[in-house]
Amino acid sequence: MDSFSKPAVKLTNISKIYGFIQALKNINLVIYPGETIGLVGNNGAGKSTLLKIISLLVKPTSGSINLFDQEVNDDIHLFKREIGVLLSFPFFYEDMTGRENFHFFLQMKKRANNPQKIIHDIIAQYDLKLFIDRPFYELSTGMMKKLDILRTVTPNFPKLLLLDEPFSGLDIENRKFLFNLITRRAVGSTVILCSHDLSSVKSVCSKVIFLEKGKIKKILDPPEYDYLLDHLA
Amino acid sequence: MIRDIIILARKDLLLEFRKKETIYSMGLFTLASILIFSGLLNFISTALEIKYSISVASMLFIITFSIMLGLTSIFSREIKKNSIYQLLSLSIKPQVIFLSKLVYLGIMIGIIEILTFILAIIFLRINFQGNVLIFLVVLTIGTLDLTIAGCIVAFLTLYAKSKTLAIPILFFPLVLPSILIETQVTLNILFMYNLESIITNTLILFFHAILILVFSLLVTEELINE
Repeated sequence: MDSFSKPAVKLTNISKIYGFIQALKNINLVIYPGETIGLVGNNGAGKSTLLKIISLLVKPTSGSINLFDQEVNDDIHLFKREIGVLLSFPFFYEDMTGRENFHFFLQMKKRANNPQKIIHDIIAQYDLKLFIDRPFYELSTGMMKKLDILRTVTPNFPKLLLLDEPFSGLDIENRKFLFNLITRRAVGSTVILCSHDLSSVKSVCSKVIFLEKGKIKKILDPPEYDYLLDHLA
Repeated sequence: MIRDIIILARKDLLLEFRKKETIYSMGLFTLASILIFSGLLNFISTALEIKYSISVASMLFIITFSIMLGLTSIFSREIKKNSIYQLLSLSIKPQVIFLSKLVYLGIMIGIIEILTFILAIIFLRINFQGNVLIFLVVLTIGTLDLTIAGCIVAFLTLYAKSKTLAIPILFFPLVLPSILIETQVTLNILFMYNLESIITNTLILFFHAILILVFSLLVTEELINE
């Protein structure tokens, strides 16, 4: 059995309750390495909560999570090494420059041996010279997002990349950059993204999961994507 | 682990000293309080021993309230934009986050204590009659105790909506015994010098600090998760 036939993500009976609100109800899901999965649904469907649970940022109320064919146990931090997360707001510290932020996150990633060189390479590769030494709060929304996306794939593309609304706030050029990043990624890396932008989801995802009121309503293959047009508000 | 704690604490200190909001508010509070107490003590005519007792008590009062000012901002950079996920996404144990915040708060309080004692010597006219070294040891242990208690309160109120109300409600009962003991032991060192009592009280402070630290490390993971 090769490693591609073992699931990258396996969720069993995942439920999440916030106070009196049940955000997710008995989610069962298997995602294999190399897949690009889109999570779609109306507001409050549970997309972001599901993404946070898979990225181990939020604990489910019940159910079990398997990542890379191992049950997620007490040593959550070991699994986090293999996960890149982009949420709807940037992870960078506002009062630090892009360079300082990159340096901080690279230092915290145990695999980054030479942060200075990695930052130097990113600046050269993505033409960030004009922005990298400015305080983060001074940057435009699109540039913040671009730097935040680069953070998730630096120093290496993670085994599991989770993106929450990655296309929002990006101009055409930066959308192309993100498309390229997702489609030309390392073989075997899994990408899960949630978005309201159906055309972008359709163009990059190999499968789409339609969530409704905290439940998986339907899992769609590319030929079935038109189903979404009728069911999304 | 130690490397991670240093990196995280250094990041917090860098962010603090870039804006200097918390350290300025703590410093200004200290200065204003000492000036008020010194003005008060200069007006009343009473025995020197009572004046010294009030001075020591006021110093500890100032330090405790300075810690409280620091506590409200300890997670402000992460929470103000709901970005506690920054820390949670890192491949580190929650205990590392706790210890890094402890180091950050400890350094901030250390700076404020140095300021407090310089101002106290000038304005409250405190004369050291005891052993300065023992005084520093007791002060360090007492500060550590208050800092650990402060840090766990900051964790307990991480997701609290009314943090300014929740922090004093939790912080004062936790540190009140320590403050009373620390006042006693500081007075003892400065003016009476009963070594047996000093050692006993210092040990109580030390074990109180260790107890809260162990408890904090055990519950950190539950507290940091929503």
